[in-house]
Amino acid sequence: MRRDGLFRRLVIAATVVWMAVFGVVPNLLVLGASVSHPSPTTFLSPGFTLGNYALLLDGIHAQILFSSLKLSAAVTAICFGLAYPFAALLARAGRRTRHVLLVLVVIPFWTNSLVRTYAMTVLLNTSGLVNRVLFALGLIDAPLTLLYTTGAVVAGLVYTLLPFMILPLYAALDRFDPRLEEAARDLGAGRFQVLWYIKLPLVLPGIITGCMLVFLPGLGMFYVADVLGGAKTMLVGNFIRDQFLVTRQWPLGAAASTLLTMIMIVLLLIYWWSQRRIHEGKLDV
Amino acid sequence: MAEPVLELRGVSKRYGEAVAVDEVSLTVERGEFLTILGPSGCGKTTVLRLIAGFEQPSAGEIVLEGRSMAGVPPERRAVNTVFQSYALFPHMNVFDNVAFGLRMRGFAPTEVRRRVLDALRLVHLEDLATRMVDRLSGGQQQRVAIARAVVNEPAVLLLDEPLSALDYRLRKRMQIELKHLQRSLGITFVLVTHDQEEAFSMSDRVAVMNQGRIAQLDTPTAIYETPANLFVARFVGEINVLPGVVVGCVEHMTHVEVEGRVIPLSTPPGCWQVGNKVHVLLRPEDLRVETLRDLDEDPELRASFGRVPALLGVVEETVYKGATYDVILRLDSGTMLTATEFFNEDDETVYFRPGDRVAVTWVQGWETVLAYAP
Ligand SMILES: Nc1ncnc2c1ncn2[C@@H]1O[C@H](COP(=O)(O)OP(=O)(O)O)[C@@H](O)[C@H]1O
Ligand SMILES: [Mg+2]
Repeated sequence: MRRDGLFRRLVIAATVVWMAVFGVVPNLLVLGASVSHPSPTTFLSPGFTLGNYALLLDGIHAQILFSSLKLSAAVTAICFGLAYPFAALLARAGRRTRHVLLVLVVIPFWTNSLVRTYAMTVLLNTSGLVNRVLFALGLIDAPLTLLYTTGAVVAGLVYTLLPFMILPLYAALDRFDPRLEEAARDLGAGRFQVLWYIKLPLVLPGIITGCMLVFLPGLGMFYVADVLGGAKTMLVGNFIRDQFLVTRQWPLGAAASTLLTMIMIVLLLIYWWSQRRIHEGKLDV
Repeated sequence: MAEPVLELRGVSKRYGEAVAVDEVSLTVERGEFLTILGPSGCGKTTVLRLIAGFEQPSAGEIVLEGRSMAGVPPERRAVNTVFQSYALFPHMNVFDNVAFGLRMRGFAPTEVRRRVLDALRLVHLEDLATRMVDRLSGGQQQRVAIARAVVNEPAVLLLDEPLSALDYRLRKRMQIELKHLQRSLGITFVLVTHDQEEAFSMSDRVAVMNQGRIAQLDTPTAIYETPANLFVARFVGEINVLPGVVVGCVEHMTHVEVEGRVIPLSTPPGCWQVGNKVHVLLRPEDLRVETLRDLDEDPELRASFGRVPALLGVVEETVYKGATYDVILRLDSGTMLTATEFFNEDDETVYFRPGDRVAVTWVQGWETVLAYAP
């Protein structure tokens, strides 16, 4: 008993230390950097200013930020559209089919995603597989420019992030008891009302988790944009990388990074709210 | 007689090759409590799902309040279901669960509130209105499921083994409560169960189902006392089945040879012909057993023993049942019989001993005779 308790405490302590050293401290450093003054010689000079955030929400930077948010939202929407039917199928499939399909979802993780992203260039370039197939089918006369476009970046992100949408959706749909739909129909709810009042609230935490796991990396996976999007700065991730490694404006990069963290916090709050809604009823009317 | 509230006309349901429901026809009167009784897998749930509209019949027609239900989706049928698994909405509290049906039908909030609180009072849950349903006991969840259905005042309430998940005592209590609820609300109930006692104690009529067909549809008494076939006879309670042959038909008397004895049976004239093979069915509690020793010593007992020639046998064992005990006997022909005996008022001991020579008889007319079926 006592040894068990000691072991437990050791494990918890180790986890807490790990999180503090590699999670909290770096984040605090970034937060500190984001309110420091920029300095051309020493990367940053200590102090307090909100100027970096102001700069971030201004002109060209705001444009980058906004288009990255839009792009990631599109990626999230596409992933959801593809993942939902698949996850629903998975949740309804028999045990064997389910295992096979789940393995198929997980297989891409066995290869490094950078390698897989490079592999996509082989498919998308002017003499790539996609163009050759379209040509052979007589659908095009001249090769299309697929690589180094926004479309290629979206495709790459969707490809990389799709499993992160499928898995939480599947978990939520699998937990959902289809008999509740029948109960609702029995009580007079039409198909749409069943979806809105019964199914959506119960699978919402899964949907939000999936969106979170896709939307945030969709803002940050700079190497996908680098490999498939060419030299343009498309994602907030590229922007942050450039501030730290190219233009050496650490405070601005830190501010952008902090912004991503805040977006994540907002999403977590939404998730928490959706969970709470399920577990704490309210007497309305 | 008024128009029946629900009518099934030759309803069948096939899943591929398998026939789950086979030409079921029945009518349910307004305010009636009808129970569908049958072993697991006989198609009871499927009948309810057909009525509720979750399944479409492969053949036949379902008529609810004079209207054919062909193609009518579940949400537009005036029936509500109490599901075996309750299927309460886990993200809503008790009040919202019960209010769901009324809200879907667009009742004003004040009206919803009034009706829901009435329904909760009916099932003694008014204090738990704001409780989430997953924090309720099984019995309480059961009550929420009932309130959620009856609050909509359906033409027919369907209940699929509603009490099977409850423990014995709670189940007994809920049986009585359900019956009272049904009487006071005047709602038509169609209940499904595999528990014969439950069916008999609550229902006006019972439909016994076997392999997708209705084996008998009648009052509990009629089903118990005059089962229409061997399946019903054996499914509801214990019964002794003796093979016999008709040896004589004179006016209102049929004589059957059973176990080497010729026994007069009062069956309607014209039922049987000489040579027909039959089953004679006897409930254990209808049998009268006396030891040959007592019959020899007591002429009065002998005189009161009845006109039916007795069958002779030996007591094999006795089984204590609490208020009664069963006497298992082997007739001289080798056939086994079970007779239920009550304890003597002033003697709490089992009277019969293994090895006792006994005579068995019954009151003429209490037997049921069925055509022989292998
Ligand atoms: N959706 C279905 N698909 C195939 N067979 C089914 C389906 N539903 C029920 N059955 C079959 O129909 C028969 C009757 O089932 P059910 O109505 O659930 O019986 P009960 O409720 O009396 O136990 C069973 O043999 C069952 O396997
Ligand atoms: Mg069933």
